[in-house]
This record gives sequence, C-alpha cells and structure tokens, in this order.
Amino acid sequence: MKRRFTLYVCFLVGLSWGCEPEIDPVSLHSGALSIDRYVSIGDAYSVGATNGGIYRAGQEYSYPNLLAGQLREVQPLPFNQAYLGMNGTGYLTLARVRESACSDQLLVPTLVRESEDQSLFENISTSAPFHNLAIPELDMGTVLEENLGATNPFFNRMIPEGGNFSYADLIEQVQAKLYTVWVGLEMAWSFARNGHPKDSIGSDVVETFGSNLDTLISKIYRTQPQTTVLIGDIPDVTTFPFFTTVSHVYTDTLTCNMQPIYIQVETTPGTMRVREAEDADRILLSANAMIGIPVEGGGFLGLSEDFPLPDSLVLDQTEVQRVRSFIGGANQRIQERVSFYRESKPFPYQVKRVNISQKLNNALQGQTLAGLDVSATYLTGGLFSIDGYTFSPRGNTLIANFIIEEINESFEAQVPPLNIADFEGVVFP
Amino acid sequence: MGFFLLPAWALGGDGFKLNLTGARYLGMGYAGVGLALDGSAIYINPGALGFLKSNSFQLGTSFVRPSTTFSAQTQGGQNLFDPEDMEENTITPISLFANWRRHDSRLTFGIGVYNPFGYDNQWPPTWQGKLIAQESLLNSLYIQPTVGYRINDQIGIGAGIVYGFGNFLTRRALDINGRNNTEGWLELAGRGNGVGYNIGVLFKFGIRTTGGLNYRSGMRIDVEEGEVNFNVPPSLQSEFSKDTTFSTDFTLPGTLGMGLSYKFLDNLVFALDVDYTFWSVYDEVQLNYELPEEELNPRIPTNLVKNFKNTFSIRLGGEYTIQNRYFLRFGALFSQSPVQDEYVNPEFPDSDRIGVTAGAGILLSNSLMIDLAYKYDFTGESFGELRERVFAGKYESTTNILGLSFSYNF
Repeated sequence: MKRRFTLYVCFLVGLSWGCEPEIDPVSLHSGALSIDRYVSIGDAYSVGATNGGIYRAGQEYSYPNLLAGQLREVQPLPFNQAYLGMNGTGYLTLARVRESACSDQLLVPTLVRESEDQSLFENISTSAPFHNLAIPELDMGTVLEENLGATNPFFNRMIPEGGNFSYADLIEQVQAKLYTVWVGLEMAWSFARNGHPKDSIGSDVVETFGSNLDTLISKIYRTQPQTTVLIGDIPDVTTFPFFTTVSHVYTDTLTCNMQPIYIQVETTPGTMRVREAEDADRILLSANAMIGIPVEGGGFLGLSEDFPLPDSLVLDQTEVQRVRSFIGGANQRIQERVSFYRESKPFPYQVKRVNISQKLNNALQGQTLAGLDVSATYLTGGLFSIDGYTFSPRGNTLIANFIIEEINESFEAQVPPLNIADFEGVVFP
Repeated sequence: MGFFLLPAWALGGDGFKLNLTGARYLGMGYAGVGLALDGSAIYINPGALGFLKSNSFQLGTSFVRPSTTFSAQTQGGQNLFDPEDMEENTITPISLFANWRRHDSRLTFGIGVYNPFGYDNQWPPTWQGKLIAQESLLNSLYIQPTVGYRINDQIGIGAGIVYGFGNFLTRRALDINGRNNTEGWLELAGRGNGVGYNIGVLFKFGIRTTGGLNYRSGMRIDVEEGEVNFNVPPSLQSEFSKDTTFSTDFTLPGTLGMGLSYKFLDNLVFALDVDYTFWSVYDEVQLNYELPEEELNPRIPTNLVKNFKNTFSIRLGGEYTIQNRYFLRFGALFSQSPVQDEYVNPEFPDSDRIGVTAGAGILLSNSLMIDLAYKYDFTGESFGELRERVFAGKYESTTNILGLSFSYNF
C-alpha cells in the first residue's frame, strides 16, 4: 500500500528517472567454453571428504558439486555423485569446546566419531552415469591397475559387479565437454599423515605421477579432442591445520609454564635420535591429546629425552621438506603436461592449469574475502573441517571459486561465483 | 526518559543530516538561511527570528522512504552476484517550533525540538554483506531554546543553546556457525547526550534582498554504558560472555550556512544557500571496554572507522504566492557525500545526491496554515568499496520524502 502511494507521488511529480534504484542483474554466459556436460576426476578432496570421513551431507558440498551448481546457473547440466549414506564411512563431530586454561584465544575441542553405515559396500552402479568420478585413495601409481575395486570399495560400488575395471577405464566410459582434474593432494597428505614419509617419495613417485596423469588426459582426449580440461595443482599440505596447530613447546595446563617437547627423528633410514622440537617441526594434531600423558616407566610422553614423541606423531623439518619436494615435483609435471597439450600441433588442446596452490596459500595465510576473514587457523579459520586436513563447505566453496575464476578469465565467461560467507565453516555445538 | 520513544529515521539530506524542519523549508529545497519564513528559522537561522511577522506554533512530520540497491563487483567492473535491496522502511522524523514576541519588543523567544541527524539501514539478514552490516541506526533529538534580537530594520541576530540526545546501534552477522544452520551475530549499542549551540545573523539589503549566515555547532555525544550483545552457539558462550560494557563518544558535525534571497516580484521569492558541513569530526569511534583487550574476544570491534569528509551542499528554492493565501514552492539541490571512496560501508552507503522538491501551502484562516512538500533525490550508480573488509560493489540509492506541517499563527 505504502509502495503504491509513493509511486503515485513519483508519477505526479513527473520524474523521468523512476523512483526505484535499479542495477542490472548479472548476465550469465559460458563465453568460449562449452559446458554441456561436466565431469570431475580426483581423490578424496574431490569426493567431498570432510570431518574425517565421507558421508552424504559432506559430499553435497564437494567442490565439483558446488561448481556444477554454478554452471547450472548458466545452462542445464546433469551432475550425479556416488553418494554414501547419511553416516557413510562415519565422521567426526564437535561435541564440546573449551577455552585453554592458559590462553583465552585457544580452543580445545572434544571430537566424537559417528558410526559408519554399510553404504560403502552397496553397489550403486545402476545409478550410473556418475559425473563426479573422484574416488578416495586415488594413488596416481594405480590409475591403470586392473581390478582396482578389490582394494577400493568406493570405486567398487560405482562399477558393475564382477567388472575388472581400472580407474582409467572408468574415465573412458563418460563423455563430457568440461573436465576438472585435481589429483595428488591426497597422496601428499597420505605421505605426511603418519609423520614419517619414506624416502620412497623420490623422483620415481613423481615420474609415475607424471606419466599416469598423462594417461588420464590422453584417455579423455582419445575420443573427445574438443574437450576442455582444467587441472588443479597441489597446495602445500604441510600448511594445513593438522600440521600447524600444535606448538613445538608444551604448556602445562596447571601452571601455564612452558617446556620443550622432545621428539624422535629419523636421521638415516632405520636410525633414530631424540632432540628438542623446533619451530620448523610439525607436531601432528593427532598428537595433541597425547603430549604429557604419563607413560610406563614414570615419565610423561614428549616431555623428557627418555620419553620422546614417536616419529609417527611428528613431521620433522626434514620430512616436511620431503613432502614439499614431492608436491613441487608433481606440480612441475602438471605444468609440463599442460604445456605439452596446449602446444600440441597441429591441434592444440584446451588444457588449463588452475593455480590452486598459490590461491589457497594466500587464503591460508589470512585473507579477507568480501567481509569474511579466512585463515588456516584450526576451528576458527573457517576453511577446514574439524579433522584439520579436509575442507569445510566454506573451504570447498573457495576451491570451486578458484575454478570459476579460471573459467571466467580464460574463456571470457560469466559464471557466477559462490558467496563463500553463505557456506558453513566449523559447526559449533 | 522520552529518549526511548525516538522514532527511527533514515537518510534524506547530506550524509545523515536530515534537514527536515517543516514542509515549507522542504518544499523550497532546504534553502532558507537568507529568509525569514516561519518558526523553523529557530533551526535554519535564529538571526531571522526578529523578522518573523507573527508569533507561531508549528508542528511537522515527514515520511521518509529510502531505497538502496547493491551489486557486488570487482574493481574491474565484473558483476559477482545478483543485486540485493536494502529493506524499505518508511520513517518519520518530527519537528516542533514555537516563537513568541511582545508586539512592541525587538526580542523574540523561541524553542525548537527536532531530529537533525539519523538513519536506520536494514539489509536482509542473510544478504551478501551480512558480516559487515545487517542493521545500523543512529538517532538524534535536539532541543533548542533560542532568543532572537532585531537590532534595527536591517540586521537581526539570534542564538540558541542545543541539548542533544543520540543513540546508535549496529548489528552484523558473525562467521560462527552453530547447529541447525544457525549463525552468530554481534550487536553494539550505546546512547548519550551533549550540548551545542546555534547562532545566526540576517541582513536586509534594501527591500528585495536578504542575506543570512548561520553556524550550528557540532556536538560530542558521550556514551557511558555502551552494550555488547551477541548470539553464538552455546559452547562458545563463555568465550564471548565475559560481561563487559564500553564507553565511547562520537561527534555529530557542525554546519556553516550562507544564504541569499531575492524578491523578483512581490509574490515571487528565490533563495540560494550554500552549506558547509564539518563531517570530518565523524572519523573514528573508539570503543573503550572495561575488560582488558587481551581478554576480549578478537571478533568484538574496538574501533569503528568512519573517516567522513567535509561536504558542500548547494540549494536553490522558490516560493510563489497567489492571492496571499496559496503558496507554490519548488527547489533543487546538490549534496556532496561525506563518505569517502575507500570507506563505503553498507551501514551507510552514501554518495553524492541530486534532489528536486515541490510543495504547496494554504492559509486556511488568518491563523492556520497547512504545508505539504515532496522531495525526490537520487545518487545514480556509483562504485564504492570498504577497502579494509575487501567489500566492494555498485550502490544506487533514491529517497522519497513527503513532508507535512501545520502552523498556528497568533
């Protein structure tokens, strides 16, 4: 009523501007990019693993699903994921948090594990085709391995029973105009997660990564030379909160006194020595609750030379470098493959590298994005789930936006980004 | 204290200065420092009080409806999301003026009660800028006892003391998620008062030309017991809920006004005003908490940066009288925005405005007059960013104001 009245007054006064401000809405288009069908290739990070597990509510916020949703704003698009059940593999929830006794700003969480359901072992191949072809534990060394289903139940449920498939076979079965490929981060994580990456992540692992990446790309291009492939590079997993939250000095919660932590480090394969932890060492988040607990023999774990933190709970600085050199080598292979296909003659292929490593690094160091502060801080930084190494819905939104940025820049498209403040970080009880 | 009954107001003048002190003044595009029109001279130029033709009592109100739309954009002009609109609240500032003079005296007494500054900007709770502003309001009420003295037939002077009350509230979402899709929020609120003054002089240059000068001082509002309210998931309550209040002060700006009027005909007068408003006093609002800073949750702000700049405003207005009973008025104005380019906050996303006004008045009897006026102003599309929060986009805003006042002359 009020509105009509004011409009009437505007009309009376005879103003030609109109009374309501109006800014034209965004005009959406995919530019030089064809997006009739989109397929995602990747590891657990592309499946939508979060909170230490894979389950339906987490998968719904996988970055490929978020990206597909935005592409759908431009044109209709099918996008089917291999959903697990409500509990899936089981996952962590945050039961409680309390302030650290010695620092107001530090939150101490209590995590509880929800039990798994049986969905990981139920074959759902009749729901095919799937467009998110990411599977957990995708080791780039086993892309061509026949009968991968025998060791990878998530993969096994996506293919017809009794099929003797490799991951590469799965890729070949679906046709699409746009692919995203993000592989290698889960590999880097699995090297780092146990605190003792073996010497074996040397050049041969990097070489295998490169050649199998090439296999994946060539499988795509064999039948579809016009397709666009966006390859994400690998961010530095050692900057994730799982590795950066626990300090290298221990604070006694009764006295608030600080004391050094002793760690076991491997000097040469099989030889251990004990030393004080330094700033550059990464004590794993999983060690947090163990430091200072009484151990057999009358000591406290990690607080004396006699009872050091075992190697498996620490990524010492040498090991950090080992993980980083794998990531650096793999990223170099990604760049080489991208350049090779882009410069292929007489027909260059449409391949692009998405610089996730750089963009994510900027965010993890602390960034403000349209009023929202993000960082790598555990629990409050917003980007990671409570396990400290997989992304929250907000973190996945950021990854999806990196890809959208690349699409918009490289193909003069106007795909709307997601508003990351709309997506949840850690959910507090 | 009547203070709690203050209505909510919105933008409509330059910055959040309202200038809504009667429909006659509104109809003439707020031009009037060089005129002796009616009791609203108490606010516009107390120097004119001695030249008012009669004693009067005037009551006025306005219906102000601002509309603002925002579209997030990169600096390069790429649109990010679809535009979103600020909620449209119609709000009603009031004004009350009374002036009295013994028929043989040169001394005029007056009192004015008005709402000089204010806004109430509410965005949809889940809009894209929710982490910066969901609702932000500022209210003020000034009470001004005034005396005017006509020195001779050419010069009048006037001065008033101003008692002011002000309050503010600002609420924003916190990026803290709770179960069942809930989201935290934080609200700061405070109220206080201050004292200022309003002085002016009016010159008559012959029978057709009048000039005026007016200075309204700024006013520092001291806030003693500011409140911090918040809503966070239960597990974080203790982290936030350390009981604390803050003290602060903020300054509402002063204005220097210059005006000239000219009677082209006996029944046609034009007025031109230039205002300079000292907005730069509204720079940073420091919030001093009882609690030491290291115990304060880092998401509780300690400093609200406004960084306003001084502004000019130019107004032109006219009044045409028919048969000494009917009045037609018109005006046009341009106001600079006090908001600087890198500090455009959706709390109060102002930019330069152009406005037009029209109005009419009828003398119903020898003593009763009714005035009605309408104003439309607009900013056009303008790019603004809040650099500190990396929040940028295009804003566009219009304001419709309908003003109404009754005067009783005796």
